[in-house]
Amino acid sequence: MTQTFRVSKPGIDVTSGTVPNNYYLDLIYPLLKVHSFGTFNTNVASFPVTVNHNLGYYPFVLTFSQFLDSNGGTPVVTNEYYQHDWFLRGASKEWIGQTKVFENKIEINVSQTDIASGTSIKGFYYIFKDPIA
Amino acid sequence: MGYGLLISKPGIDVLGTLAQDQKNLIFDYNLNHLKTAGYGTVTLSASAGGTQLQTVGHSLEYQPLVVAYYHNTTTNPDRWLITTSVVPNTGISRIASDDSVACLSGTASIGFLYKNQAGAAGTVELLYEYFYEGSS
Repeated sequence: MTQTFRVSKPGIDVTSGTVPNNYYLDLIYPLLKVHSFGTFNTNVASFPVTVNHNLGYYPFVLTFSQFLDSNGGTPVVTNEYYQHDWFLRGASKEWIGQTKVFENKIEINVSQTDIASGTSIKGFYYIFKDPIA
Repeated sequence: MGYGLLISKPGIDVLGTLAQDQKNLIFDYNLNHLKTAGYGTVTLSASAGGTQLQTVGHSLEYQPLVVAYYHNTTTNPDRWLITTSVVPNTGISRIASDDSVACLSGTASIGFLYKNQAGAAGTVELLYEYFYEGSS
């Protein structure tokens, strides 16, 4: 019998079945391993935020941040966080929420054409050990 | 030597050199892993050019990490797209899809905003998972 390692969900017999979603942990399916995590609370003028990870490859990254919402008026910082990336370009305005991934760092950028440079934007990011490819 | 649980990928000696590269491990007790706080399916419908926001409550009291995928059940049933955020009012270029879904994360709920830019009513099905990991 091939050896394996599994942790099944409550009520699931760990010795039977092959449905991956029945297991919290399965040798065949690597878990995303958090390399680093952080929050930011940054003035618009201070973006991009650079976070060094020094992994030497392109890791999987997830970022959420506040959005600068406007509908023809003064931009308002949202309470909720939005998933990166977004990039909107109107006739004369841009909205950017972008996370660039490099081999040894990430760069997080949030901006909007009309926003005051001292406006603070909050968000968080997760960088994983697992490479994109 | 300390104690801990390391599980390497199949074919890699957990005590060998390759296992020192953490991306070759399935599980590493030194590292945090995403832990699912909730998951589910929502169906979003909007008229031509319309939007629909669906929220899902949670009790975490901070903004959790969310991952979600969606597809149009009629026009693109086999094409699942990851949610992004805040798409333009015109000119969506995501693989010629007329549907976009923004994913947002709040302290009491997560939400999904469907924007239908097709010329007819549309419906998308969305699968989501959110995690204990988040802004706190």
